[in-house]
Amino acid sequence: MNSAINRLPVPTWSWTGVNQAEDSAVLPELAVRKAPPLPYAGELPEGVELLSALPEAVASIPSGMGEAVDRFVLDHADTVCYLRAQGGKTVAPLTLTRTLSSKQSVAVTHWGISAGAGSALTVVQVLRGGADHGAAADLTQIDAEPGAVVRIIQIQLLETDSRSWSAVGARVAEGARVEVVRAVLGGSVAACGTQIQLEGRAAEYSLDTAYFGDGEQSLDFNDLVIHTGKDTHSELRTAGVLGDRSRKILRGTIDFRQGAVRAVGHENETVLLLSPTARNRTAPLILCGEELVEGQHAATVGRFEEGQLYYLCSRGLSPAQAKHLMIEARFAPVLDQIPDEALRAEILENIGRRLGQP
Amino acid sequence: MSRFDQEKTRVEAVDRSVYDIKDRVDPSFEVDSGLTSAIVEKISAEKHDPEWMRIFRLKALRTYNEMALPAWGPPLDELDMEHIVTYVRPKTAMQGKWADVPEDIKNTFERLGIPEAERKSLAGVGAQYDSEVVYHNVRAEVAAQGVVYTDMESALTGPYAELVRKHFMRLVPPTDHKFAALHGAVWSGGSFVYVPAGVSVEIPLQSYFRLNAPGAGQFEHTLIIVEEGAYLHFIEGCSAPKYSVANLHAGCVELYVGKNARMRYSTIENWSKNMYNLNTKRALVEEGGTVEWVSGSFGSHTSYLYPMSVLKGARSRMEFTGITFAGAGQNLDTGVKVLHAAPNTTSHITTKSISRDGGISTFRSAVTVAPEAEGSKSSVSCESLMLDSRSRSDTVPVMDIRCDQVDVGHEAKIGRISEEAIFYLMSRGLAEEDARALIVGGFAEPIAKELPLEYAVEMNNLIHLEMKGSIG
Repeated sequence: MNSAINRLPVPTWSWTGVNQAEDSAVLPELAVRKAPPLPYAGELPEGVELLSALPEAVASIPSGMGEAVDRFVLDHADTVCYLRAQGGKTVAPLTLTRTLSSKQSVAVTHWGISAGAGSALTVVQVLRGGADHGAAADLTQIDAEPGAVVRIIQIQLLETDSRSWSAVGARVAEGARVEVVRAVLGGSVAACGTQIQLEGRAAEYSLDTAYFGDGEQSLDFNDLVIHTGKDTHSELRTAGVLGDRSRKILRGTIDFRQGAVRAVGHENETVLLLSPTARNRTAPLILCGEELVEGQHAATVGRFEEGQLYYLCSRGLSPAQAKHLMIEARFAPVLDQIPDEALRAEILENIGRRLGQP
Repeated sequence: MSRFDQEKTRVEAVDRSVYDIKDRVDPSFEVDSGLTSAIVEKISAEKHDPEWMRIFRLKALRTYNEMALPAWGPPLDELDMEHIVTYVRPKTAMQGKWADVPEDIKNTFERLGIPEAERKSLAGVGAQYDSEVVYHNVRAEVAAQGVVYTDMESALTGPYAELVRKHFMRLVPPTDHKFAALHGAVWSGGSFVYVPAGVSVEIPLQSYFRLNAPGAGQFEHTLIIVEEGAYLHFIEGCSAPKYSVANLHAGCVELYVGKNARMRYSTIENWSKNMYNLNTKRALVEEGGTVEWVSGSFGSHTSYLYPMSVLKGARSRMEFTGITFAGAGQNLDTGVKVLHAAPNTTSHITTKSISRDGGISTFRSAVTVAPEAEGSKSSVSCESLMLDSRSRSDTVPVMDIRCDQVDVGHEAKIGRISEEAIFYLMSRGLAEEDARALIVGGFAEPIAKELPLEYAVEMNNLIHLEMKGSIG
């Protein structure tokens, strides 16, 4: 087993430090868990049932963080949530909040989602709280059958005494769609990795990430989408803010395999640097083995756009208010997709508190 | 006959075999294949190295033996140093007149158009054949400006010996990577250029590297110093006939660009498709200076090539314009590196790559902005064209930004030739093959326009040649 976390699909110069996550993201050493994990005990939306065991078709799906993290979650999960969504349109989201505290400094959650043909399911995963050397890890495996729509919303609001690992893997069948929305705000180390296999014709995937790093935070992302099906479509959007001595690595890879004709993959990233000691690293890969595809990547990294600042100040905002507004705007695409008003407010409050309300 | 038929006839008249003509292998001296300290000592002795260089070579060899092969990039499994001859001396000393160069070697360079180019459009020419420079000349009026253009061996022991010693492999130390260490151990040939402060060399200098011997390596070293306020355009060309055994090119280019100086370095690389091209190029740019790289990669079996610029002085600039064309059997890993190490530095990178007939093209880059580089700007634009689904085209860029007062942009696109554009051109009477060649030529046009006319024509011809047979 390779213990590296968030490995770049195609390695590059080792001195760039992007081939894998930094040492600070090493998994904690935990004793082997003897008690079986507890199943999800909350409410289930209509059309969703709880499974006692995960079907092999779901269990075999790898995540974007790599075998080490997947294995870690399987070995140490204290909570499992195996879901089967049937046909029909489910409106109400399923929400599970894991809270770290001095009484529970470790939370490990294994999600398995089998989305039946034509089904729809929204899952909201919230992490908050903190503990000395706290650790929260989750693995979400998704099998989206033809026409299914699965939306995963991940909100990480941990305190800075804790670390988190969030791994997602999905297989997407014909006409199905998977959406991952994540807001990463807390934790001394926050590592995330997605691997989405667009196998069926016209399968779709979208990823919207917003993050805010400050203090000594380390953020590490490895997002990979593999196009094997014809007419498949992916959109990867990441926006973030880095202050103080925080650092971030984003690996975003669109992999067009031979046969993925007419596939389209777009990736976009904007990074706002608030501090001369923050560090941003980005490795946006496009791998292509098919002629008839369209792949694009765009990234911008830098400071506040002076023209925008000037405009906002000319409308009566103070420079601090204008900057605050511009930072909040980076979270807007993610906030818009969070169904719970209270969660949206909590995220905005978190940002405001860290910026110092103007 | 339509004008497009005429175009096609002209293209067919360009014959790739000009690069593939093999001279009889008749060296005056060569070392055994393989890489040992005895071989390195032998090369050093044969070249009458100063003592410091002999020690330098042996130390580099130790570094080579200690370093691992890269853990990234195209496979190098079939490159066996036990079967590479690292030094092959041709049967001539360096000459200052083409008439004095042996007939067969001179004919090879004639076919490649070097003496003609020298007469028409160059300020000076160096021609290397296998491991040694066989011809070097610079126009009298350029020399009169104080410009030095000579072979590295002469520079190593001549009046510029101390300058060479001060700069040789300081930008690219042997510890940089395994093949830089190899270069340090067995380098031979190459050019030394010194342009004094304030001197503008209005027409380019060119060095051409020809590798004739099968199973041999070429390890030329190019060291260029452009002093404050000076300007130089240097052109590098290279080719080799194709053999069934692997050849190796591990050259090294070091450019020192002074305050407010400008240096343009153009390369048309057309090595044969049995060549491992593991070349290292680097520039150090002082305050207000500019380095411009123009790079066309067409040949080689395997390439690792990433010219690097260190923007050391405030307001220094780098521009990189490159094209890579990977055809059957080729795995070309090319790109660029830049380090912004001072305030208000600027880099612009524009690359195009084309893959066809099973060829693999990888664009690899690293843009690093150091904490002290406030006010710096960098833009990267990378476009890849896939001509069939047997080929590959990968893009592997990295940005490392450690400063908040910067503007960094990156964009990459990958795709195919538009069917609508082909249909339109065919509706105007072009055959499909010509339509595709025209579109690919247009794709490469931003690169071609950066090259001197003769080289732009050569590049376009190479593209047309590569495109022949691309249908069906």
